[in-house]
Amino acid sequence: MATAAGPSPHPRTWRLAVLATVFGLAALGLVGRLAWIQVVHHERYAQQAVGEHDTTVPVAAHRGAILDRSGYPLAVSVDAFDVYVDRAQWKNQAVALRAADQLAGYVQLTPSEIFAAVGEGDTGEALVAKRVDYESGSKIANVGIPGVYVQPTSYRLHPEGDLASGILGFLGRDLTGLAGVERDYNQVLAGEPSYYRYERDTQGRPIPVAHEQVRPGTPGANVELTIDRVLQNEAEQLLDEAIKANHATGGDAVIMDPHTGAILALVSRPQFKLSQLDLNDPKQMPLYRLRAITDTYEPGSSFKIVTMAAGLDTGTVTPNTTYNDTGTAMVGGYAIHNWDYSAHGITTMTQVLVQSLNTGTVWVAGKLGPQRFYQYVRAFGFGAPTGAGLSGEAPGYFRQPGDPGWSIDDLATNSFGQGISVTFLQMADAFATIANGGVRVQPHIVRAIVRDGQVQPEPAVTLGRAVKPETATQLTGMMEQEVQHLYYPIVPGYTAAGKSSTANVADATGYSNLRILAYGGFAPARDPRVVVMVKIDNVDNSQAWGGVIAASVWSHLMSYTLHYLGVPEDRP
Amino acid sequence: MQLGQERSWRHFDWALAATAVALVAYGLALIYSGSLTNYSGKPLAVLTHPVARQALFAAVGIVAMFALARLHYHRWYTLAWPLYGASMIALAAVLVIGTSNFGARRWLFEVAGFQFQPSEVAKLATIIALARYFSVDPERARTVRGFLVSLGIAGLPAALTLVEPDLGTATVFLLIWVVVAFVAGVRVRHLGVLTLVGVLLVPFVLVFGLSSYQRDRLRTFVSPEKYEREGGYNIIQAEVAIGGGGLFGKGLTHGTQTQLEFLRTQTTDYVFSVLGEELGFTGALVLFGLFTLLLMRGIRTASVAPDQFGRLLVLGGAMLILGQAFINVAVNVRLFPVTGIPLPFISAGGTAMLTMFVCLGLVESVALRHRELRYR
Repeated sequence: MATAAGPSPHPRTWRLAVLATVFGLAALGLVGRLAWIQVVHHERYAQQAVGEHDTTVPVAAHRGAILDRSGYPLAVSVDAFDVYVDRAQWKNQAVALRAADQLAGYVQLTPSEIFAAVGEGDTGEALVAKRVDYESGSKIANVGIPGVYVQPTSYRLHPEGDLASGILGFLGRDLTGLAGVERDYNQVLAGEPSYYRYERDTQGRPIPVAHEQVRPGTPGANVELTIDRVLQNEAEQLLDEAIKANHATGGDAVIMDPHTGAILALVSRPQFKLSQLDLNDPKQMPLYRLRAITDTYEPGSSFKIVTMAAGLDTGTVTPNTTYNDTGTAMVGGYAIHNWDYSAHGITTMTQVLVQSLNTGTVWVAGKLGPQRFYQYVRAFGFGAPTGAGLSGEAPGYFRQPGDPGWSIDDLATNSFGQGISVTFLQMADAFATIANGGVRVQPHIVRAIVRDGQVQPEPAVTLGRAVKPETATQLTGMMEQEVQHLYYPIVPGYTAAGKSSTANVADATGYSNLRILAYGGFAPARDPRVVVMVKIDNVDNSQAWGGVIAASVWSHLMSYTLHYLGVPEDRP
Repeated sequence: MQLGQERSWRHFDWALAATAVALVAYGLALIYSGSLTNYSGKPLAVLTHPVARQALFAAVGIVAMFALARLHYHRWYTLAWPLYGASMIALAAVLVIGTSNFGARRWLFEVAGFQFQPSEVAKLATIIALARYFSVDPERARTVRGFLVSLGIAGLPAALTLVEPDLGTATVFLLIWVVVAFVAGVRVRHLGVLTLVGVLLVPFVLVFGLSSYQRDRLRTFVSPEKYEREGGYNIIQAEVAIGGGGLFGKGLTHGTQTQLEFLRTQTTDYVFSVLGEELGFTGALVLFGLFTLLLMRGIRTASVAPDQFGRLLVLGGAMLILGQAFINVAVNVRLFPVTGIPLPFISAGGTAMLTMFVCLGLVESVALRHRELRYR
């Protein structure tokens, strides 16, 4: 034995013991290290692992609807699913064929259309069907077709089509409101998203089976507007017809409740159409804004009601106060003429309004002086946003004594609405203030927030008194005269008070031939229920008058509104 | 010397074999879990499935173990040098014609879809050669010449694998030498001097002696966060997986890092991380327990070996198994740079599995003929 494989083993047993000890220590080292990682620092690693594959994603809550004042939906969200195919899982043709066959049963597509949508390549995901209805989408999710995923989504449905598009606004691709009420009330409408925990793999793909809700969301609330869809529709149609008939570039119309400030209809043109909205088209961008609140213009003769209100309220004039109209008023070396370049001699203040005499308001403003005149301009809310509840409102602008560039000429021109910029809604609000007995009420577009059937009304906000009630009454009487003087003195069955305006559009060289025609007023004159104002922009016709064209639209819209609201007639 | 042929299997170390089979079973469960993501729903009984392949390798290995146990281990004494020579040639051949896998040339032959790794045979051949070298004359080990020659026997394959480049296998050769030489009786003084020289050489090796790949690996080992793209990712993921397992683990097939494929090579190099994540500290202790049992049986067999050759053979074999287990686990828990050494009996892989059972066969061959028998 010893010859073949060496002698008997040397009894160096201590060496075996050392070996065993070294092994033991090494093993202890490993166990120690393992205990360090797995027991002592377990929490840290566990969290790191969770952080790597767990992701919490928000899932948008059902978006609230936008309703008109009677609860009729103008914009509602429809829950749906987008269907995706993971190309990697369709690499196998047999699998893909079977899956496509199965999927075809749920979406309105043939298998070959599905394959066309999936396209070439075997990586990434392909969107094969958008806005698959909720029921079919849930079925696809539950059945579990290989490589097919559904992503909950929703889209906005507008049962009234393009109605009130400028007020409603629209959503971006991420379903966030980008304009109008959709934007300004986005938080209310969107609600709180619920949060889901997903596990994702190394590619960041969510593992479809492993998700759980970690925080429930709150569905969005409904926003109920003050808009009446019937009146809104009528306002839009009448305005569109007038714009078309007069080859105008646009216009505005508003119907308001003078006592609450509720806006029953508000339309501006040009405006995007919800049905033709294309966020990629830069040409549509100027159409997004609601010009009645975002854009300013020179109000022209409409503004005479403010000047006259100031005159009456301060006791400077009465409706029967007279002045001598020479046809020209000299202010700071410039001659100011009446619209018809005529002289009317001794004229009452009522006739100043009815005939819309510039020289008359210049005379009144001169008697008032700048201090008092601008005090009233501010009291009617000019120079500040109305706070109607929509963002993007322009404050308007006018110079006052002390402002750079102000001169006494401004007082004169401002008195008949030139050299001052206002929004359409501000001007309409001034009519509403007169109609409301001199008290300003904030115009508003949202009537209530409806959450789980609970109605939280948006209260009417009174902003303070602009003029005394007697002033309002006197001015109303003068405006009644103006309505009777109209070529279209017609709100059949009702007394009405109003004021026309025909303003040439200012351009670089002065005033162009383009005209802004407007008419504002309220009815019934002695118990006003409705304020209506209409404006038609840039009519290229020197024979076009606000007192004719705008007044015609106004009288149609006013009488429609009064009848629709069931306001009792107050005259034969 | 005619002990083996007629010896009854009564002396076969069944506990040793059973421990190995238990390890294989443990490994099959881990490989099943580790390959679940890619082989989910596929039949286990098909040879393309990693579990089936591994079971087949194990079966072949067990047959080989019994065959080698039956064969008298003295046969290897005679064959020691030719075997060593042939395996060194094979190792050198790999460098020239081998196929590359993950950047290192380790494979030589591909037979019926199974690749063959010459370095595995070289490990066995080196153990046998060292055992023979030291058992010819017990005083050899005490001389400087004996010390250096034996170092050369292990150093040659270590050097050949180092240039493959395969730092892990080279380390295994050196570990085998240390254990066999130490038990053979080399002077502690010599070992001390060698250690000193080695330590002094470290800076030079680091600066001049390492290939760029080795330097990268060392760098990523030291700060894996900085070199995530160069492999630090795997190191971090292994640590995260193991750490996340905690005391009892997340349950087999429920490890998130494993199943979501954050772990890489999770059935081979990083199979221990699967164990750490899914079965936790407790599962790891069970694994260590099994290897400890293996060690104890090995030392027992060594202490009752009929001759020096048998004893060194057993210890070399035990070292091959345990040394690799240590290195593999150390890599997984970031105590050792990434090497590619599989976890014996556990990691998926045919050649390694076969080598481990052949190794056991050698040990069993010695056990069957253990010393007590001579006094019967």
